[in-house]
Amino acid sequence: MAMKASMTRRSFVKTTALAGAAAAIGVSLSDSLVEVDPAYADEPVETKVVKTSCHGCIQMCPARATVENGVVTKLEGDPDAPVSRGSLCMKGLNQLHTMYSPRRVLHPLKRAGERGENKWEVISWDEAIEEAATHICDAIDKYGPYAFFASVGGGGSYSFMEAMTLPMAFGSPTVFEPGCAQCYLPRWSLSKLFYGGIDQSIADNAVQEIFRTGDDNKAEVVVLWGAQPSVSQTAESGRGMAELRAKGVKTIVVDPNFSPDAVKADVWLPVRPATDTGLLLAWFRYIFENKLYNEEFTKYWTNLPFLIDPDTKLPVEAKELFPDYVSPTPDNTPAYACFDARTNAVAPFPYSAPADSPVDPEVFWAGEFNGKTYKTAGQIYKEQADPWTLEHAEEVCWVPAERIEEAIKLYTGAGVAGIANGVASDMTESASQVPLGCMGLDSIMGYINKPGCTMTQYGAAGAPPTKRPVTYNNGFDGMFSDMYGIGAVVGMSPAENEARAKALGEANPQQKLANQLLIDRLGMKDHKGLYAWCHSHIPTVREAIATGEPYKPRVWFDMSGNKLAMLGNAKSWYEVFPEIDYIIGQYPMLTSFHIEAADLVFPVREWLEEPMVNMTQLNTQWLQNEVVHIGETVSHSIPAAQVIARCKEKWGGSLPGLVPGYIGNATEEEVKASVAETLHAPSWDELVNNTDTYVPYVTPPEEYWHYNQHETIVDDGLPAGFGTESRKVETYCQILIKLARTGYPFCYPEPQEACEDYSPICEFIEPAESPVNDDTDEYPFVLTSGRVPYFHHGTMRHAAFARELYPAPDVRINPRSAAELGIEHMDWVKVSSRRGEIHGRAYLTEGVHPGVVWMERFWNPECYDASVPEEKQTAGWRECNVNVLTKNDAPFNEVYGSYTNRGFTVKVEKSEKPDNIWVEPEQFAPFLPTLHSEPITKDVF
Amino acid sequence: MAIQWPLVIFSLLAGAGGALLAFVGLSGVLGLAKKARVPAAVGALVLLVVGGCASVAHLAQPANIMAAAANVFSFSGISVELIMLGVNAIVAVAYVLTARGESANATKIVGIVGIVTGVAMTFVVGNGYVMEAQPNWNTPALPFAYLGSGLATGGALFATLMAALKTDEADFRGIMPWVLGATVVQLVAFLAYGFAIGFAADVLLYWGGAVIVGSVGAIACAAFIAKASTMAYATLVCAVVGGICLRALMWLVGTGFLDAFGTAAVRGVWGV
Amino acid sequence: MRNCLVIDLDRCSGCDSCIVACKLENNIDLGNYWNQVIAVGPTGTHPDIEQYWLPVQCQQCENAACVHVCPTGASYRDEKTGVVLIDKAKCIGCQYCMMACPYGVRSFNQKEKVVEKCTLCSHRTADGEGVPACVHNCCCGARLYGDLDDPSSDVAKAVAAASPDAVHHLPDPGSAKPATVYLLSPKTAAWKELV
Repeated sequence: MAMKASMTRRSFVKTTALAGAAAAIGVSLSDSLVEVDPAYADEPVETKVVKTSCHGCIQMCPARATVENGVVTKLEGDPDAPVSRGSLCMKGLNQLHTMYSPRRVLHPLKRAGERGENKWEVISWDEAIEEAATHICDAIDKYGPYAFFASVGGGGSYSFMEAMTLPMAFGSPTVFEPGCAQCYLPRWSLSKLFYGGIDQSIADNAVQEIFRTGDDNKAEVVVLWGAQPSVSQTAESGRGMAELRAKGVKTIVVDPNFSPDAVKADVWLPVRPATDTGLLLAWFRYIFENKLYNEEFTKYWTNLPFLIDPDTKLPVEAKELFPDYVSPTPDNTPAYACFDARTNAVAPFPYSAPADSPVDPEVFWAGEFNGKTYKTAGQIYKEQADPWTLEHAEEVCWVPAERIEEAIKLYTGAGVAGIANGVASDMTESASQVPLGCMGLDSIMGYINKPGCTMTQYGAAGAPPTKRPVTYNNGFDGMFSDMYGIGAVVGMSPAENEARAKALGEANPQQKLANQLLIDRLGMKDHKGLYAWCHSHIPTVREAIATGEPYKPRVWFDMSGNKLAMLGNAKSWYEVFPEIDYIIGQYPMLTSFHIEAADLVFPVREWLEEPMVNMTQLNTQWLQNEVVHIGETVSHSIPAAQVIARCKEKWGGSLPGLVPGYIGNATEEEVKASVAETLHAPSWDELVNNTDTYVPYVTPPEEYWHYNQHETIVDDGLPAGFGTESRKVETYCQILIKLARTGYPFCYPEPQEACEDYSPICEFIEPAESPVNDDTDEYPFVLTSGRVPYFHHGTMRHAAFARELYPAPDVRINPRSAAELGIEHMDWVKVSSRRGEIHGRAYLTEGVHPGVVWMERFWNPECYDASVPEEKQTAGWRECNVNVLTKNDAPFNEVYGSYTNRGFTVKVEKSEKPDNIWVEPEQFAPFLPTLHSEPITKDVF
Repeated sequence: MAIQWPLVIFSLLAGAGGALLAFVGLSGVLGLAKKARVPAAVGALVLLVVGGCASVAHLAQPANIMAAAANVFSFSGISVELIMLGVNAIVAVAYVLTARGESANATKIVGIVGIVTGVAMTFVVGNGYVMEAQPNWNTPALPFAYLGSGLATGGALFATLMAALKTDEADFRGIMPWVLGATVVQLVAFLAYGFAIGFAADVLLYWGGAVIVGSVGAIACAAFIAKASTMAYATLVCAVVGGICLRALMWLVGTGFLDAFGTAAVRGVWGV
Repeated sequence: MRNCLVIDLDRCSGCDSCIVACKLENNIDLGNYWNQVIAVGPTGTHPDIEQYWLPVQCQQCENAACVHVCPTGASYRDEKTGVVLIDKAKCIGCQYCMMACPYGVRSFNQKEKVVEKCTLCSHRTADGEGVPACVHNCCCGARLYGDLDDPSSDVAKAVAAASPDAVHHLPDPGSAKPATVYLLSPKTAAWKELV
């Protein structure tokens, strides 16, 4: 759609002026023109509008960039996008400033002073790669591959896959991301284990069904459990929520904070931070008690009627109780046992379509069989939920009982409803228990694979099945399973898995090394759920760095933003930096982390410069275009690929790790080719020259949206079911028991050491630091956090137009609590936890309970800005950074090792503004863009 | 709103200048203090001109006043002030010229015109602020407070000039009730304005500055002008203090009807 | 002709993106704004509370005090579009209009020494085609632009479709008659008069 106009700058001014009002209204034309170097004033202005996608957050809304003489002068949302519909939020809009920020890193930088001194030397790419490769090779030669480690995360970083695979290339098991166990992994991974399907996260684009447009949208009730799409993904799912509510869809929001989505909700449940499990169990109890669940779905499509062996905690297979029983189903589809209401006896419960079932299984039953007491999984759940009357939940979770009841009635009374489970629980000890509860509720309601619910399968993953569904593990879509012969396939019989692993191992001797890396990965014994993304347990990595046990990570390649603002208990990380021999970073700006830690920084592209494919909106895929390119910046995958290539050279053509190991393009040409391929264009040039032809890439709706897949009859004559061991929705998530004991299905064929069993169902966890557990009243408030619409993770703190509106973090506090402390609206306050103290501005609101305060992450690049006298500079992560307060020690979530970013206790006192923090709009002038006259540059690689 | 000092000074000087001119006319009607009349008329002219210049300091560019002058018939508050400045300046000049001529009647008539235009001047410098958007200004008591301030200051100034020029004691006795009257008018007008805004103003500025020092103080001093002409100076000082305080507080209570951007600038919240 | 914004407060989530869209589109200095978003509430006592956000900018008053008080005609109503605008070339920076604006939605440009305000993006909209940047980019689809007197416009249709108890204007200090319409249904929150 690139529309081009050619006119001189003068004529442009004149033409615009002719637009009647424009001359008189005094609209400054400078937004488009003044920034251009005066030398070009008389040259023709070429204006084009380029289709691209924003990357201000992970949802990547389609956008249009106006480019004048090579300078991007305007961004706006693409009205053709089906969900965002032309919306573009400030995180995207402000790229106009950050792209051309004077604080951009445009060339490789080598540390020139001591760490923390913020002194840098510009070096060539060749020198930079040589530096990095030398340090990595030397460390590995001296200490072995486990000396290397990688990390990613923090926003504005796209290197998720790259970080996961970078250590593999060097034969190291160590990689982490401050998100991961604390963001999305628990929900993503559990949905695979729970029903082999897509999870309930809106932010990560998993929940799409409820955002279908027009009459295709069948949603009736949506529950946002710890999610706030209107803030986190404002233009896409925020817009989607606005459309959905306008359409009359009812919403229930569970959030300690009166978020915009809570403001608009039909029912708001302001749960005490991190006690969601109690609330979930209250829902279960009410639904069980009042028989509001979908009986047929629960009986025949979940594993709740299965008898559970009290010793193994696993469902009993029919052949264990009835040795002569011959299952009518294949080996990959075991028959279990139930209590049959028809015969009033324990009976085999073979897999079948509901109508063909020989039994009428009781969901709730406990009794003896052959001298052993069995309970159904449903019974176990019921007993777990039993104490959780509405009144008990009110007492523990601080939500009025009648309000809980109102929510449950709305949710259960709908023809279809769905829970969207947000990030909140990932940041608590109950990171696995909450998704188990949320998916569990949808499963007993039968809100699965139906139009209008959240747990649906679409796109390629949802294609009508022809065979018994299986679930691959180890990486996205189990990509590392076949690659390295590791991991079992859930839904194959034990014999099939054994045979498969043996065959793969014979074909690829790397299986041994790959399996060993799984076994040796830090923190895996206790938190085996991390295997899903091949990540290490962060506190265990920190401990290993500090102590050298069981091995010492020494050379760090970080692929994204401000680790000090993103990692829990940042100070504990700062303290171990001296233990790390060499630290490599890459980011478009220098952050606190780079100031305090990095020895080398690679310059990477901003999203206006980097080719990529967007996250999709419904059945459409969009291009993130290379709209411009300045400096020597490169796409995110390239620095590591180049460093690996150099290491390989040094080692005489081989690498100590897995092959293929690193998955990431080494040149822009490769990056572009892969983007073109994804969008079904023959070449990059063809793609960008005829963008309208290829963008968006639309999958026909009938090929994209599918429902009720589990009922489709497949090649074995049975309904397809789900990609789990039982072929049913495992509301009692039996595989978690196996996971704890051996690492199955991830750490396979060789097992990981056993740990305590994981809970297969939602169970209540009182947060470790809480008004209930604290033995001191020193920290009277529970702190929780949540996003603000101005930033995505650690990004955009350099964006002057965001910072002038939100210069420092709000500490939301109830006016009654504030009054007791003599704190007024916008007073500076000090917030302290057992780990440190930081500052923010009090925002008085009845939107939080008097016992709760709310605060979002922050860091302050102005603290070390070039405009600040050197002797006054700090690295900007101690002043307002809530992660100085967060808790990164045990207890962790059992499955994923998640630590506590939300739901711990603090004290609040009136205070003063820290030095160096800018709060007046004019102070942000040094961040305003200056690089418009930087020449457009060619690809470095 | 922040105190706009150029406008405080402008309205004080222009108001005082107008009132001084009125007192020139008054002294002609009363047949008093002849010695002071022409100097006072010249003084009025000076005040009007200096006041006008002060107002220009409020503009982005002093030259911008020409644009306002060119659009003087828009009859916006500023235009009316400009018109009245011009009219009073002409009257002052006319007075000086006629006073040098033969016709005492003509001088007297010009003086009488000066009473009208001068009093009007004191009023219009406050009247432009009467607007819906500023509930605390949107009262006739506001221009009357300006009028009171102008009269008290102008009257005290006239008496001060008389003192400086050492006019006869009889003249002081004659003018005293009028100056006293002006200060009483000021007190009444200030109280009326205070009442109109529910006395919701800075206590020190309103009660301390405008009412007690500025008005009660001026009254007390004015009452003794006839006894000691130096009290004229004290009256003037009080009236000036009162006039400044009243104007300053007017700006401070000018918080607007709904100050959206001001509220947003401090992350303010409405409705709670 | 009454070109103006209609803002659906049932939709607005207070994300402030309209502020930034405006500032980038109109190249507005740090510290200055042509639009803002103010939280109204939460009112009530936790957890029985309600809230809405009020995006504010020039209300396009039918009886615009800013135009009346302007000593130079810099503040004027455009004949073609009916929109209240500022001719910066005529503005002398007296800021009288800022005092006279009932809603505090004008700002003083310190660099150019002139008063500025929302133009409804006249450079985009004067030809009758485009919409203001804040409308285009609004993340909630809450902002609409058009002529209230034209029944086929987005704004007129939205107002017509709304229940009468959901149609609001900012409070009028007397005779201003602000044209901008806010839609807020009682189900979202009770409209607060604010003065």
